[in-house]
Amino acid sequence: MRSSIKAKRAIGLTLKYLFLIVLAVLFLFPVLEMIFRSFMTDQDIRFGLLFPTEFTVRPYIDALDAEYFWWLKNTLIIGVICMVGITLSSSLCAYGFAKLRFKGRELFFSLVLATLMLPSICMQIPLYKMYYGMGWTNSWLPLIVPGFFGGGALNIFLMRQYMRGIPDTICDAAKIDGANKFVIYAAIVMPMCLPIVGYVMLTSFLGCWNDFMTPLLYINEPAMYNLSLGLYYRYVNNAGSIPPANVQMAAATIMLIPCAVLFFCFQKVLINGVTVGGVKG
Amino acid sequence: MRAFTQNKKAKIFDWLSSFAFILPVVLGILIFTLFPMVSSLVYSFTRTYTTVKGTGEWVGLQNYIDLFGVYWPEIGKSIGITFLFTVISLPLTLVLSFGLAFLLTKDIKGIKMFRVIYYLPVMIPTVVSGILWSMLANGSDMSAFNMILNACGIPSFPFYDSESTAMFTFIVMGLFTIGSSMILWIAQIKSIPDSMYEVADLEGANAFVKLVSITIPMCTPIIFYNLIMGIINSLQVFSNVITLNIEPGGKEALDFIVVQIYDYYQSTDLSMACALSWILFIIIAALSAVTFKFNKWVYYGEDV
Repeated sequence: MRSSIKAKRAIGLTLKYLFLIVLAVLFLFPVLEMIFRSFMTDQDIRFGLLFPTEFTVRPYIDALDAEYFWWLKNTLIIGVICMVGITLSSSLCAYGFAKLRFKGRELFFSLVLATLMLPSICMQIPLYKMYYGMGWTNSWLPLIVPGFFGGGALNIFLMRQYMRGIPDTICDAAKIDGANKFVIYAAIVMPMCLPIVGYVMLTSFLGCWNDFMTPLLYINEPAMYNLSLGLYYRYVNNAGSIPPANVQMAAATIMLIPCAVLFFCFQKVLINGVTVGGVKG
Repeated sequence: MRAFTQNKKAKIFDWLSSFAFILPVVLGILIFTLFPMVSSLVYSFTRTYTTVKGTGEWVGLQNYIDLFGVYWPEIGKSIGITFLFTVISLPLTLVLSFGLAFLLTKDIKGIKMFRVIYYLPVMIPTVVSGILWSMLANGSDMSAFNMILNACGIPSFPFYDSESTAMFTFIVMGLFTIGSSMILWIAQIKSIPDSMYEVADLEGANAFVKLVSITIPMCTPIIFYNLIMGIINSLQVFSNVITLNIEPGGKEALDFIVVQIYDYYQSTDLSMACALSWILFIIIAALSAVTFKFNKWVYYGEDV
């Protein structure tokens, strides 16, 4: 009797593992296939194989030309500036909404949340005209400057949720000791918010790294492209001849590496960050 | 009297110094959201073809009349495509990501590794995923999926390269990123107190009863969040389509509303693009409002 229950449980567990492993293979398949193809010879590509008969780094040599490195540099610069701007701006605003009491606070906060629902496409054309008028098109300013103004409703929301978890008594005690609002923000609240600050820094960097739509709309000059746009005009929307699949996959693999490395190093921050405080209104 | 004015001054200063912290976002909303929203509404009543300052001649509702009249075959089709995608993909995503999260909250060894693997496709940059999927799932015999099918003795499937199968392919490929909703579910399921399940065990509830009467009701805030954000995002599908390198037939079946707006923008018919984007906005606002109206089923706990 007892052993049959045990056997049943063992079978159940095995089935569960089997299912999870099959699913894992499925989820890994695209990325693995991309990496395999990036090491294929031109001949393997023509035959259309799943797995390379011989590994070659030739596609990487072809994909990583001077222009690629130039776009990589652009992407890094934009990403770092965006990361700083978004984190700084959203943490300041979140602190205002979470820890300071003033008239109109709730009204402004609901206004911020409401912007989550506006489709960004509605704003693109007037923004294009505005940027054009200021001479910002074909520069990185449209990608960078908006981040300094609030850093996105979702980031403010997540940071506010986290900051609300910090007891008011700590801030009040500092206030009695003569600390002003900015000192409390910089010296007390921010050091206690490192997990969510890390989360916002990471996601804003990745968001900028992957950003495709904004540069697509505002940048035409190849020298100003970020990696996304560069790969798009080279491998997707190219009137000339598109390089073979192995070169495309090599270029894509290199672009994925920073994301993958950041993800594996900080998966705890990423996965926990979303969840702090829950998504309760 | 003097004390009073001083008090008042201090109060105003206090308000100003507090407001200063949220000033960036208030300015941001004014400059980068509100002003463009209103201007695009204004443009949609004009005929504007130029990117430089100023608007063209005022035409009233003519752009909207054209969209619902002359251009309707095209516009109606892309509205239909967008709805079709939302109606199929959103429930699928919700159910599958919940199922995955449910499996991954059980205490079994290696659970963290599985979570990481299922989340990995979310990290793939849009452009990379476009290039990748158009290579893995095109209609030729050389595409990865067709090679697997052929190896199993099944003839090649057109996937992205045919008008009749492109949408199916797009929806299935989209399911590879359910990891992002999965993470939210996991957090919510884990935050349910164990005591609830213990009580249910004492009452002799089976696993199904526990799922239906504890887990799902306690997850309603995430259901609601995923529903709202899902509606908003899937009606705005754009980058994932435009980065695909596929046959025109496939593109035809993936002619989403925002893709149409982008086409107008590219042909510098800015006022038409604005009008169509306002139609999209009204659709999104209406659907969100309906969802909000019927949110009585959401359980927010005691502390709201």
